[in-house]
Amino acid sequence: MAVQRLERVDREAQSPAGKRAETVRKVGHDLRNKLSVMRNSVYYLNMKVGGQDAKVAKHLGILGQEIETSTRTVCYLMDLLHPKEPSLAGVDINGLIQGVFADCAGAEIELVWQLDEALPKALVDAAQMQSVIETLWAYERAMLRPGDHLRIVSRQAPDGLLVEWIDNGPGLSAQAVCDICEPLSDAGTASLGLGMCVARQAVLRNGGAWQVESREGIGTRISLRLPLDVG
Amino acid sequence: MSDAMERKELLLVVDDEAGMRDTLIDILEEYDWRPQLACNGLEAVKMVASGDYALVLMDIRMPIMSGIEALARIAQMRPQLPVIMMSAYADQEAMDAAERFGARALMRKPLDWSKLLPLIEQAVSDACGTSSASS
Repeated sequence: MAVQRLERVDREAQSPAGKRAETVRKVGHDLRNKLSVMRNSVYYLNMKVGGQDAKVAKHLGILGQEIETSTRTVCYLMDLLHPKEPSLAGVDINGLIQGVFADCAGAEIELVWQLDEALPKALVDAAQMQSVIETLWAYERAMLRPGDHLRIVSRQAPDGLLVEWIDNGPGLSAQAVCDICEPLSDAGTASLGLGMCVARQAVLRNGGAWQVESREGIGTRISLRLPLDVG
Repeated sequence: MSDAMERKELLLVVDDEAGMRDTLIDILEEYDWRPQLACNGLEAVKMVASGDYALVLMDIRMPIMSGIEALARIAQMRPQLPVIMMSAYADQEAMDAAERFGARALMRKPLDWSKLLPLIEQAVSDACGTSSASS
């Protein structure tokens, strides 16, 4: 059995699609290394000269943001072609959400929190769910205008644990709702579509469900249903 | 830069990327650490054998000898020496191996300095406490 499985894995790796995926993995790894060096340099420059001049600080900030976006895009590409099997454990979803937002302060979007304090743990891969939350936040920041509201809700539902992102932004057309997880759509940037596609895949791989509802001019609701940790 | 007498312990930074080594050394020096450099796992193992390091900060994927293999050898040689692994894209296998061989932590690249610097401080402080308690 083990030999058969190894042979299958070997065949997959040598197929054209397998070779492409492996190439993306290696190039992605190299790119992340380069981006890491750039982030270190920005960190160093910020430390040495960032406080001396507002424009220098502003440009270092821009560089930092672009490095973050590029790093995320490379990760999305690697996750799309090399999805990792979830390592399931009991995860405090409220804590995960709050952790992501602790690092993402400063946006001009009004956040409204409705997190159930007695929320039970979800049985999911913590790193993958963190990445999903980061992606949803990146999506909202790209779609909403300053002053728009984003309500984040967590609660226990009869068939799992429900996390909802409800905004009062511009909303999406029926076609845009279909395309929200499509990297090749014209609805947003390819990177954003790629990220949403990877996030949706991760939710489904973790045994969850993903739903998007939207009305133009009213707003959008993204609902994630996650399995409960009953252990 | 502060006086040499005030400088902190010796750290070993191991990465095959020259840019990574250069930026790591500059930042760590700003925080008064005394970093030394190795380009691969084999060089790191040799340096640990002959040097008095307080901590090793090491990449996983490197030519000649990988970070995981070097970690396993360092763990045998100096089990109390804290090792923080770094990776641009660690797969589950590498993460499991890092944990198995006693890595103090695995940091994803690009590095989050707000997490890495306190982690280094804590690991070195814990290791100092352990070594003084066992001596």
